[in-house]
Amino acid sequence: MDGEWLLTGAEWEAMALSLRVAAWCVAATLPLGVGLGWLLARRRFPGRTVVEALVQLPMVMPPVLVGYLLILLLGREGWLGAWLDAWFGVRVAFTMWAAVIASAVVSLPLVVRSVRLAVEAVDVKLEEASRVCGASPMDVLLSVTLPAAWPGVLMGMLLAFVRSLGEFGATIMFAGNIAGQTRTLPLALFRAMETPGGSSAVARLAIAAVALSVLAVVASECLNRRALASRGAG
Amino acid sequence: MLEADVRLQRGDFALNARLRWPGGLLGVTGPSGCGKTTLLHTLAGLTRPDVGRIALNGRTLFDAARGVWTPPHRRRVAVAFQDDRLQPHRSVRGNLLFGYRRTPRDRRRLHPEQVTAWLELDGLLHRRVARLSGGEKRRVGVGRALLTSPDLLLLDEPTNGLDARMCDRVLDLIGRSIALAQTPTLMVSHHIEHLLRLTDRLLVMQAGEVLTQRQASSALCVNRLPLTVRAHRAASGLTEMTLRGAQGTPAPVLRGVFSPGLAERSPAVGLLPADQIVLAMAPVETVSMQNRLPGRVVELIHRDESVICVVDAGVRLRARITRQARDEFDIRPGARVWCLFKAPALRVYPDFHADDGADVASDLQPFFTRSPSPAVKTGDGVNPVRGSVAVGRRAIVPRLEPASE
Repeated sequence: MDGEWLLTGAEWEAMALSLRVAAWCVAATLPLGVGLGWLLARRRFPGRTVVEALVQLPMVMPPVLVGYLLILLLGREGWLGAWLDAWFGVRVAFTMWAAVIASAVVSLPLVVRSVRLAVEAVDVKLEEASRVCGASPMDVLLSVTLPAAWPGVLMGMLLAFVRSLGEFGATIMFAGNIAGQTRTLPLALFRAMETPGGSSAVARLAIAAVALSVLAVVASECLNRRALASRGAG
Repeated sequence: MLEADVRLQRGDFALNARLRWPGGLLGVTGPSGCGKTTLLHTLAGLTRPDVGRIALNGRTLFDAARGVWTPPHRRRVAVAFQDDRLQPHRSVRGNLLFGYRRTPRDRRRLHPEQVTAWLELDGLLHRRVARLSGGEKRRVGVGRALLTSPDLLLLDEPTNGLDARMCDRVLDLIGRSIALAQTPTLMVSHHIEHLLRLTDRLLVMQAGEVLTQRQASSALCVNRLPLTVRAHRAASGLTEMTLRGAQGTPAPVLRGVFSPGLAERSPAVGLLPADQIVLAMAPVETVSMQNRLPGRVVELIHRDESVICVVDAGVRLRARITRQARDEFDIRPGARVWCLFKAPALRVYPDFHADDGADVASDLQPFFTRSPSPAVKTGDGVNPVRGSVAVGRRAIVPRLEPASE
């Protein structure tokens, strides 16, 4: 029974991979989510409803279906995947990047939504005042809108992070369950469930997953407090 | 030089304003909803007019016909908003420098040390915006706008939401700052007295239109008197002042409530509401009024239920009387009268925009009366109500351009 509560090497690997995938997922969704969130909050343009619907789609579809669509698009035979393979020799499916893409697609709606709500809450009058002080629209976004919407942006990043940690369906479809490459915590957990006598491994992985999520929430809460304190509202 | 001719339709509201204005401090007033703020926003580029043209110092900022549109951040037009609009996540210093940092070095004319000193902001620099009082926020807003070294400064209701004491202080600091900064300024306020404290040039708006000088002058019922402080009499609780640029010698002496804050021999502005003046047929010595000025009635203007009586008493004074009083005392142009008013009725403020020294006693313009200037004409029927007011001794500004559709 010695060391039954310690993670094995493979389990550490799964955890490290999970963190890596989640970090890349946040890095990928942040610029895209901020851009789309700002666009939907501040601009009226033709096709806005279509963009809005497309962005929300992965949230309302079963993740397994998202994974399947990703294979259709980026798989070796996929529309974009075949082209990437032919021209650049790049194969995305069944690599860590596939896990990142799967996470990013399902988390993007969450980031867009929280950024959008936060940007909508920023007073347009503040932005106008900055324009007449000589700030260009991009300058206003970076120096006024985003700092004011920071708690919402942070919330979007946290949601993307934890959504990525928990992502299962799309990942297993699009990235598979390859130890050391695409076997993140949830996939390792699934694997352990299916393995006879794996109940102690399940327990260890479950505790690890919970600990990671709690850490993420606590960290974001700390950042948020600091942001609020620095503006004098906290 | 600001030239604007803008038209804009938003639902029921229509703005139709045309002005030409060489510089200095121009007050813009009118009842709520008359389009003052909308006019300001079109100048700043926050609202796009439907048709028209705006040019500042020869730079075209907007021209509907030629499709010219300069976005707000390239106009060099700064705004101090009535709701302040300071950034909550920056300190006072951060807010003040926001525009300064975005102004190219070679265009920076005003610098933080100057502006913070003028507006007395030194003690506040590291304060958070959320912990400022209303008056402090207003001053920071003005400072932020000035620090962009603008070609045109727009002040939107700078006294809005401030109590009387705060109002006085903010107006004094603003008046001093824009006089020192020598920045052309448009100041919007529905308090005509707040404007008259700082400037003798007014633009009066009503229902989206700029009123002609005649229409506007009949709407004004406060006398603005250019004064020089002569002496303080602490014992009697009075401050004595002489009229600057008065015709005839010796210049009449006016008495106001003791106000030692004004330096002797410094220029001041006296505001005297038209309904605070009593017209008498003799210098009645048996009442406590401290000011008695002899004069001659020049003109009677009938307005609503009362009569505005323009009296030449060395300076033009407007007194509001009832029709009953006019009939009882047979007041008509040419009649000799005495203008009586109490010392507290004359409110005295420092004059930041008094022209330096040897000015022009001779070309004193009739105060708040129609100007003989041929520049003021009524439009051609397409836009019949349009024009400008010029008051005080300066040139007739803003000038009305004859409508030419």
